[in-house]
Amino acid sequence: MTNFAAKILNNSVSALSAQQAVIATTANNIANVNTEGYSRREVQLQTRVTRGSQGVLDVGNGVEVGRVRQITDTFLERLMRDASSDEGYSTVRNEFLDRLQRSFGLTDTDSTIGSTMTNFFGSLNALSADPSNLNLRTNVLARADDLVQSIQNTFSQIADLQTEADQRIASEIADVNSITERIAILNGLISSREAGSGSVAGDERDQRNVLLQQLSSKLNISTIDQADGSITISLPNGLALVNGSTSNDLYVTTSPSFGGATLPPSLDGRVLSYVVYDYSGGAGTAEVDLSQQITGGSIGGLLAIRGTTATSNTSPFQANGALVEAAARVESLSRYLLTTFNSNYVGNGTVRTGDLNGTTSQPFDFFTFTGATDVNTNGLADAADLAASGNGNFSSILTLGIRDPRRIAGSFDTSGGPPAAAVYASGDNRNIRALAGLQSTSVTFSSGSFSLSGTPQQLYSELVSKVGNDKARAQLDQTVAANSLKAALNRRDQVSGVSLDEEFTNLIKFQKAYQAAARMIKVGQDLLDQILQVL
Amino acid sequence: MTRISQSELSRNITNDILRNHVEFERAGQQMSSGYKVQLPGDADTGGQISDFRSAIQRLDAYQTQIAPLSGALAFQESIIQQSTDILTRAKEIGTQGANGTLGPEARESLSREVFQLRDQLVALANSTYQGRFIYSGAASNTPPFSATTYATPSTGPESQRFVFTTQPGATIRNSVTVSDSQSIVANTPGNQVFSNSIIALERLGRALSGYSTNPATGTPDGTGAAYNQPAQYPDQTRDIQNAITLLNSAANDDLLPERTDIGARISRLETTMTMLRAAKAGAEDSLSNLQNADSVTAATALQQAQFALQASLQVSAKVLNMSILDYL
Repeated sequence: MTNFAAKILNNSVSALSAQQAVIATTANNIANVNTEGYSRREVQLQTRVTRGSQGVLDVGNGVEVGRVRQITDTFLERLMRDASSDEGYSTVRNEFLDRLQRSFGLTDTDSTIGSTMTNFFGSLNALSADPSNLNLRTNVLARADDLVQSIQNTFSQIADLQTEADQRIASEIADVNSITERIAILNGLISSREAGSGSVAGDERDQRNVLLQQLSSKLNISTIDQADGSITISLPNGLALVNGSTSNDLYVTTSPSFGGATLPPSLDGRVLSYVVYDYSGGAGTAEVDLSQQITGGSIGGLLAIRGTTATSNTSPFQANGALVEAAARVESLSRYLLTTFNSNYVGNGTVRTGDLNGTTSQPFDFFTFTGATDVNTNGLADAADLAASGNGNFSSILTLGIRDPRRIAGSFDTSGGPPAAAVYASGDNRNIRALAGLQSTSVTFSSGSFSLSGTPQQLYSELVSKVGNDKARAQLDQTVAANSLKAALNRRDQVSGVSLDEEFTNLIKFQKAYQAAARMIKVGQDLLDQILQVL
Repeated sequence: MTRISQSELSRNITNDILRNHVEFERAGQQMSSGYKVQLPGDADTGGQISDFRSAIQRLDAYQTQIAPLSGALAFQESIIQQSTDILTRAKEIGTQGANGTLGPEARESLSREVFQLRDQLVALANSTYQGRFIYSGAASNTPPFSATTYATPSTGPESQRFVFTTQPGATIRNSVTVSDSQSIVANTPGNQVFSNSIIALERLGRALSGYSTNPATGTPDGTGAAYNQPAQYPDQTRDIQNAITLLNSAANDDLLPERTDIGARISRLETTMTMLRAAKAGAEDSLSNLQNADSVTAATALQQAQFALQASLQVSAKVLNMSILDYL
């Protein structure tokens, strides 16, 4: 005969222990309500099965804990990682373009290249009304100096942004290496814990998910879940960053093994670093360039904004990226001043021009640059001069050749030309007028792959439009990416996040069940007491 | 059924509050700065704004340019007016002197006034404006007319012969750009305006005081020697009459066209100034439309942003306070 009283006690005890397990899981869920990356757990209860036939009088054997389930959706996790990658990319881009646009302010108080340039041409025009007036001449030099300063400042602000992006890449890569190393360790833990046991290493998986999200906010990665619970992470070109419990470090170098002795200079004259994978394990002898492979995450954003360049290039303007494009436009203005303006200043080869002292003007009298000028004596600022200067650009070394207002060559030669000695009348404004007229003369501005036909002001407004459009687009991209990341996080949390309301409702449910089971023990005890009393 | 987890709830609320804060801040900044576009990325009109700013700066510079230029031209106009008056007075004296009833002595006394007039005209031709000689072309540090001498006599005003400077650049006309499309000639070389008048006055003066003239250019009145009176009295009368003809042609061919020309230039400057003002007003208007915050719109936007922020704060206080714990 079956001992039902004992059955009651047994079943009730199984219920007490099962409800306790559920309540403990609820406690764990509540404890982790604010833990980043935590996926809520759910205990699956199942009826207890015993061996042997119970015959027709099978009343059941109580309850037991089946398994603790981690509520996750790998598809949503993946979506979230992709969104993270986009968000990292667009945030860093937006930040840098925001800082770039500050060099091109549009209000009255902003001293930009645009305003100093208009003032400079205005001062030339004013001088043309009274060409020997020393106050007006001093003013022309002061305005020219303003223009040079604003070109130098703007260029160096852009160059500084590029350098900063370059330096940030190095520190981000260090973060990437530390993250991949930790993921590799977690991979090892997960596969050893889950191997053959059928259990889930939930805490390790949660931590790994957090790290994966951090990693994808820095790089665009692809992941493959392996059967043993580990995850393989690879770059878009297939190179594995993490494989099982081993991680591969990335390196940042300014002397990659695939480059020649001379690398293209950056805007500030240094060398842009290359993100590489090193097959020689850090020895630096077998490196592959990843700079153009990483197109997502904050590192992708930094590389895009900083620009990447082939090691065979020679000019900083051969790199791509919004900073380089803006700098190329500024540089084209410097080259315009050094070539078009200067050759007009000396009379364009058709007439000699001279100053109040009667001195005939020479190339590089007005705008010049520090260092050896005109190494090939063609009167032009060209690639040969740039190479000799050791600087990749003219903008940062642009300067004024004359400081004495009497030295401004305002006059045309009245002698009738060589071989007669040149004669300059002090009140002659023809050269000044010709120079002032350059502001409405269309020429071709170029540097690197950039080329634009127009007046200097048109060049500047094209630059402002470009910077503005880049910034506006980056802002839009950033908003979209942030929203889609938020949506992805929300969708993940809808599945995996902890809801206190839900947990408390469950708590009441399980607490009641626990109370009921306890009461059942009392009932079982009463039954046994009854029997004992009869005896 | 959609589950709302705690982290989603707080993420959404924080996000909304931050976004409303940003909007509020932006509206407040527009209101306080008066600009709706401060940086190129604020709108797609950055390039246009920069163009308008440059145009306004340029139009301003042209306007500053025009004021001294029209001053200089007005001054030149008054010089030509006075010069015309001098020639008219000289003609009166000449006509009086050509009268056959006047003896050589009476004629000589008339010559004193003619030489005075000549000196006045030279002084006018040598006028300076802001320290520079107006009629020396580009050689503006040198007076346009300076005295050399006739051979006979060797002293007195009759001996003085004023010639135009040979300084390089003295015949250059300087143009000044006064708008994107226009330039105005600022000066006329003195030899084109005054040389004939001065020579005519000199010949009249010499003829009246009893000397024929052999000028550097033009037909000589004899050899430049003194008239042999009374035999050459008719020659003297003829030379006086010739000098009057020269005065007439100098006034009509040199001074009158110059005066007309200056008048035309002054009126062109005025037209240009009006055009520049209109262009500047137009550019300022467009710039303002593109860049300035409309205070009514900005104030409304600020108010709306404030409401939105307050609402999101109130809502979050309500939502975050809601918990099943309060009911257990």
